[in-house]
Amino acid sequence: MRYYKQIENDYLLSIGTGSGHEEITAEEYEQILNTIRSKPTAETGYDYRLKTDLTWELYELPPAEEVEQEATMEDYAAALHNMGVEV
Amino acid sequence: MATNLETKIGRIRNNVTAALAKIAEKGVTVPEGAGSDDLEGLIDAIKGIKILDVGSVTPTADTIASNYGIAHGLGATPDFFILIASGHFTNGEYQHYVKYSSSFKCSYEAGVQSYKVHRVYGYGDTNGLTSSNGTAFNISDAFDSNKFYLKLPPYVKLKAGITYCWAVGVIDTLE
Repeated sequence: MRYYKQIENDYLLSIGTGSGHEEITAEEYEQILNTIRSKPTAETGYDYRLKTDLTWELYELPPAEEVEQEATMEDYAAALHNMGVEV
Repeated sequence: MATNLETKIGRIRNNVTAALAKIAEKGVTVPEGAGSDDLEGLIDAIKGIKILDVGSVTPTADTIASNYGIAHGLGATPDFFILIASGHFTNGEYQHYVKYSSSFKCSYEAGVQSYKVHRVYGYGDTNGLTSSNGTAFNISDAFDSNKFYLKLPPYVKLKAGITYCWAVGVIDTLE
């Protein structure tokens, strides 16, 4: 099995198995995975990103954008019910 | 008393017979007298889904899914891609199985390479799974010969630390 890490601008974005990116050993994969799953919890408005030396860097998140969520099946069912249509 | 060599030859012969029987179960016509030299060609004749590459990805931070390109090793555009998410998107309501499937020969869009996102939603433990067909989109928007891109709403994110498994492959129509 081929293991890899994805790096962008001195930060680790992901690890994985399969094709692409920089190949690593199984031991390095497990080491990074354990680090990812030990990510510290940041306060609201902040997050941590992983540097290539496997240390966490605290940074401020950009303002959240208002994004309209698409309707779910339950939303449609509720709308039809309000219109008097039984589903 | 059979020699060791005769025993091994007998085992190989039995294995070839068993393999040919399995190939016949898959719908392939196995000619009378087919042997080990025919196995390769008969296996190629098996129709259906063929998985050509598998992998996994674990993000280090919550990542907008629609911005994420996942590398595959085919060097060509596949017919389908499956990502197993099992509830692990930041929109916690969904258990997403995202599949890209080719439009088969009976498609109303004959002659056009159109693909659809089939999403299976599960709402906790109380409701069963429901399915929703997404809007058809052109294959070039989701795949290139090296990567595929998740066609999901922008508020859906892959979660940090979660390992997502995926597979890509081709589909032979069963006609």
